[in-house]
Amino acid sequence: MRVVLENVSKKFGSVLAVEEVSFEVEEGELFFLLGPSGCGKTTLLRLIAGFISPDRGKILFGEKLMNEVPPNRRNTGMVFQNYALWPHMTVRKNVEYGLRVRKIPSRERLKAVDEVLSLVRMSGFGDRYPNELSGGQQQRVALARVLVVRPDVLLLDEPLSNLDAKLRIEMRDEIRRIHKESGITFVYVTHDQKEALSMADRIALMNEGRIEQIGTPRDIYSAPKSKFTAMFLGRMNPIPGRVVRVTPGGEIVVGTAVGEIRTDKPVEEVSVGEDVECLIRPEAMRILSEEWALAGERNVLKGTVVDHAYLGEIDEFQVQLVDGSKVRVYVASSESKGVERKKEVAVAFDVGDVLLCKPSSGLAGEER
Amino acid sequence: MAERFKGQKLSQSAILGLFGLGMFFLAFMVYPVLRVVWGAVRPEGRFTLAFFAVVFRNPLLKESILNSFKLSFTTTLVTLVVSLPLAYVLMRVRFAGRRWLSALVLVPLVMPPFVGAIGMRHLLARFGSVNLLLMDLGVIEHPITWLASGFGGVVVLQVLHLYPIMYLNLSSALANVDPSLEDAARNLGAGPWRRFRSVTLPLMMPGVFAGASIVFIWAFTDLGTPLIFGYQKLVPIQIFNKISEGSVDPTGYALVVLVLLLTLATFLVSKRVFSAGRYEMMPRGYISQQGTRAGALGTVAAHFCIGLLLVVALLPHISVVLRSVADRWFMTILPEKLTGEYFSALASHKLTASSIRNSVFYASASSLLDIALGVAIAYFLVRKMIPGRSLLDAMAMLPLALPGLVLAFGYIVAFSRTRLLDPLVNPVPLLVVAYAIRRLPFIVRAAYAGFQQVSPAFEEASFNLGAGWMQTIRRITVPLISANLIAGGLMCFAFAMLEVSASLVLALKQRFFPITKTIYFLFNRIGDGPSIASALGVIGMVLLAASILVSARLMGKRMGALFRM
Repeated sequence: MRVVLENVSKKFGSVLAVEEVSFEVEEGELFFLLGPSGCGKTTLLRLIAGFISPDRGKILFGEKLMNEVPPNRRNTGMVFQNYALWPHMTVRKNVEYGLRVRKIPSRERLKAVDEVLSLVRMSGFGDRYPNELSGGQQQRVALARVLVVRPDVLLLDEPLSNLDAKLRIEMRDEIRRIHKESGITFVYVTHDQKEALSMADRIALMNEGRIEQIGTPRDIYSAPKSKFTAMFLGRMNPIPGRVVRVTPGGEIVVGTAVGEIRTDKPVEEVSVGEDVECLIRPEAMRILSEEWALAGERNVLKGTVVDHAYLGEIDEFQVQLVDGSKVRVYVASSESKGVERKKEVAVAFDVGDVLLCKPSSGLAGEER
Repeated sequence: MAERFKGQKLSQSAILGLFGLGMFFLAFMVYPVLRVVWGAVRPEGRFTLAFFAVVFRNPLLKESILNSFKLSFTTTLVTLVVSLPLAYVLMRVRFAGRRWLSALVLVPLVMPPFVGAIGMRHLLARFGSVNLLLMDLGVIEHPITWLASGFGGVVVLQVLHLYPIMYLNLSSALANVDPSLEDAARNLGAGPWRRFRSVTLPLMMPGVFAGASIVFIWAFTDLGTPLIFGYQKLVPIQIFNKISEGSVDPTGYALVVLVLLLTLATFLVSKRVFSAGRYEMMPRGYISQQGTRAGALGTVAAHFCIGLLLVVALLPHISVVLRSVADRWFMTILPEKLTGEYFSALASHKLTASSIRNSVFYASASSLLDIALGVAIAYFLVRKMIPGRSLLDAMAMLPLALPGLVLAFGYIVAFSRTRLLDPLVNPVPLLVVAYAIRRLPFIVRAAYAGFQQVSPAFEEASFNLGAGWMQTIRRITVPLISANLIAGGLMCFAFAMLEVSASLVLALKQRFFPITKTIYFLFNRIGDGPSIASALGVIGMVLLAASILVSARLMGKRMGALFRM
């Protein structure tokens, strides 16, 4: 089922929780609502489920306007953050509930429950009570409970946030598998960018009740359209400066305290003479320790390695630049030989990897 | 929590439910009370306050009002004096057996004072067990007249019945007083008495006021106990007599209005003091080791004092039990011979048999009504942002300030000679409703606590799967809060079984008599009447104790919460 939101707004008292939100979720898509806590993503999910109704705007399932449809008539399936498995019912009773409500005869019910329990790999747990299950198992039952009624849309509210790190990663694959096998439209709310980037077909990144950007994980990560998006996903090294000139080739040259930086990727419109901020991802930076390697590099900053952390797959270096500021650089562990503390190095990066924005715009420019 | 419900629209069935609740309160609380007020200030179609003046000029009524105040003040004061050290010792001193005693001291709460009064009269009669015992021991030579006016007897029984309520309020207040505040005073050099007076007691004041106001209202409007003692010159009895004589004049209305004003004022003042004086306690992440450990002597002393209190509190009821099985109990300390005659009389006697049936039916019906009302009200209070939420809350709590006597009087006034609900023709619906309303605050609280423990996500998950409002309540919510509901319902049942004032006023024909009215009726009959009344009282106590026990098991530690303001 396609889910369409058109200019949806919702106020709680005087607080605007959701403001003019529009998006379309395609049939069978795994769509993510991603954002920091308090950005309105859970409110959106509850609006779609019908627990609250919008002040303005339209919510459509397919062609049908859902605004006035009560939650029990929407045929959505919601997986709650803490699962909300009824503690006084067994797993089977929990899963069966939606079918009973729909007055499905008991023989079919039995079959459907068995099928769905095997889909979530919980066959044989039917007679347990929720408090006898582990977190991951409860999660699977919560999924089964909504999958069994074949909802038009499956809504997941931070479904993995109560699981430990390892299980969380296992369940990511599990949910993707279930999504594929069921073919149902999923709307998935999370604040965990790794979850969103690794699982989503498309992501809507939210901030303060609005949508910042909608796109595939790759789009959003590599071509952010706002400073907020750029700063929210992954890490960024911000370097302040001022636009000096624009080359005939379209490159913007920024003068900074650590040297000239060239970019062809302005996130916002900037003009010559304007104060700006250059944003460069740590993994887009390279460390060059030999003089000869500098030949041909356009963006080169000199500095000294002041700190080093070994993170397994990568090494993280802190390089102090000539003005005293520091940048963070990720280097694949296989290529970090010879780079060590106190060593004088050069940091280089491609013109296409520098994002340019206004220092005041977007979220306060704290580094993440 | 409220935030997440703000956007909710009320469904049609919810609006219908709210409307039903509103109509119920209007018909059975607001309208009868207004009719009473109307009867007092506009008896002949003209507004007048003259009848209030008549109340205060009439020497009998004036004396009754004074006596009622004297009685309820004395009872409240004595209750406080008994409960304060009790609460302090049980909360702040650690000694062996403390937990047992904390539970046992609550027992008298469930012992009906109305029944106890029968036993007390027997014990303290001129040649009753107490005088005979004292004479045997040679303490006195001539029998003492204990119950000259009945005042003392009523006070003693009320105190013995009501001190647990005060104790519960005081101990919860005490539990809220952070011991570190007392430690601070000690650190500054204050001795134990000074600490108590200058730190602990002031911080406990909300609890003191809350407990005192319940006790005060209860004592002021108690009808059963003084009736058994024949202590006539009290406001409730004057009202009751007017109703019994069928001669309710505007003065009677005025008297009822005065009682209502007094209880409402007491209730509101206590609420105000309670919330205005509510001291924000600093939250503490740990439970500090409370209190000092008592030595061997202290432990023995505590056990002795509390044990004595319990024995005295239960003595009247023990005497009732003895009376019910005593073949001959005259001029002796203990009965000479035992018999089961009176209990078998209960079954064969038409009136007693039907009154037991009646009581069980009334009490069951009223507790079912209570559960339905309580679930609905608590649901709206906890789960829905409804307009007029505080009004609904006030309505549900109002019965705390609405004495059974006033309510029953209002019903007589409002529904006499109506086609459907005439109490003279068939008082059953009104009795059931009166019992239900009287205990409504208990069940609302029990259900309210239940709803608060149950995450709204459980209900949302059910809506999400397609279930409607009714189905969700029935299949998800009620099972999840069933322990609370059963406990609350049993409490309602138990208290309805021994409700006195509404029963005495509303049940006018013998075949509608509940247990309490039959006890009163039999008690006044010469011959074996009092003995059969005692046997009936024992049956009542057994039913009451059984339901309270089950209820306490289900509620566990939350039991105390039901009796606080």
